[in-house]
Amino acid sequence: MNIAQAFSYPPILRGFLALVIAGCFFPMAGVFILRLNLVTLRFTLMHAALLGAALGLALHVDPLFAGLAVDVLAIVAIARVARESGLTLGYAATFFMVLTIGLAFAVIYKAGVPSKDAFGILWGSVYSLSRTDLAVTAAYAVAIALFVSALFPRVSAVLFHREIAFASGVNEAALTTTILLFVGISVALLMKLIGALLLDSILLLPAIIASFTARSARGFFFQACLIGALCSIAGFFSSLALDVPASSSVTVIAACLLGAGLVLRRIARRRS
Amino acid sequence: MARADACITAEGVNVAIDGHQILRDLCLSVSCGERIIVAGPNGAGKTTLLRVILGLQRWNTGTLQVLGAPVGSREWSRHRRKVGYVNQEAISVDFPISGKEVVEIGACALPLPKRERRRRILDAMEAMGCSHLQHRMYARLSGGEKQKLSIARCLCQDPAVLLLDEPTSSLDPASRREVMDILHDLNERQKLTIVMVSHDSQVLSETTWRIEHLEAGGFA
Repeated sequence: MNIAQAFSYPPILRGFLALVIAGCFFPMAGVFILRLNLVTLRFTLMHAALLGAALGLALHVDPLFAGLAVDVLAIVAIARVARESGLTLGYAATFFMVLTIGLAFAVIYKAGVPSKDAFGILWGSVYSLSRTDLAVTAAYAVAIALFVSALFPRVSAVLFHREIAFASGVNEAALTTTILLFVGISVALLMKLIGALLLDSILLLPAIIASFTARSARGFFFQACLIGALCSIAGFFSSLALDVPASSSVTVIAACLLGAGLVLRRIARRRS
Repeated sequence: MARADACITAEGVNVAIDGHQILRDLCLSVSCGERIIVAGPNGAGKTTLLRVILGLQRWNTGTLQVLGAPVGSREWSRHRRKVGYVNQEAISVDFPISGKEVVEIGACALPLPKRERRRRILDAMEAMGCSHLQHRMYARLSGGEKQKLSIARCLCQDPAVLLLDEPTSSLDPASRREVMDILHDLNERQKLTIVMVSHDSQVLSETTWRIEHLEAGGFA
């Protein structure tokens, strides 16, 4: 099957478009995760999305939207608990991670949800996206791009140092909660797209690679998006050429780029 | 007792964090245009005092006014941008951000047209003699260069008060003297009120500023 033939199938075309959109824009959320040290939060959101999917399947609601809803609720709860209790976001996220996975298993068991369906969200499927899923992914991509570009100095202030952002007159609490919401939605959408196990290849790895090469905050965002686009496009075409799942090829390419980045960084450090 | 020309007034301020009393019955009055160093050993509550003045740390009892507004009130929220803050931690931030972007943070919440904002950023960098650091990566600069950018960031806010937490602690003697000269000059020329926290014996021995010693959460 050649490329033109492949694109004549709507599920493949939709999958390609969604992957490119995600690759181009979702690494911005990876920059947030990296800079605000939200790695634990990302795990919590995966568990929360699993709970949402289980609830969705039990209540016959689209698992993607149920996952998004539970992720948003989890973000609001984590931000509130962290603010009120003085806990770090990491501790608050750990509490909700345990809670949501416990609840997810309880829902799966009590509602008789086939675990195959609920756990399907762990590996996702880029070719099973509906038009609505694609539209939601595109709308979200526009939203995060607008958020970062329109509020760039404020966003970079929060990423630089939250107390300094506050002292500079930025509504740091509201902006941090908005950033967390963007991270939550990115995780939920990417779980549907390439699955929980591989979402880091689009979310986090491009941001990590960009952190080696960027010299400015603008450059950091731009390079992360560029690398994400490269990984998703190259991953998609290599998956067609090699007949392997798109999520695997995207992940392998991103991992190879990260490996190359680490080697180059080491060489550069030795030279300097 | 609060003075009529006071820029910062704290009366009977108590702060306890996790059951530990950090500040106890603290009273402080700083006049507008004054420069003051709050000295004291580690753990005396110096940083907490600055955080309370900024509204970053809640206090338990007492009254605190900055620029005539009670800290935390709606009126204070409106002009908290008038208080610039240079903290210790920012010096170790490892984030790919350029010198210009750091200074830009100071102007990010100001309702200014783009051109005016850019001009203000460049003016602040020029005033601090760090225009050449615009495109340099912040994490790779020396401590002195980072402090100059931090002060330039504050100047972008057009502040009335500058709060500095140990701005000279990680600097070599030449950079320390340079930063102190810059602060002295800002106070003289722009009549900025400066409150600086320090336990740097060199700075304390050479300064002509008012010095208040903080010990165990209260002024000695």
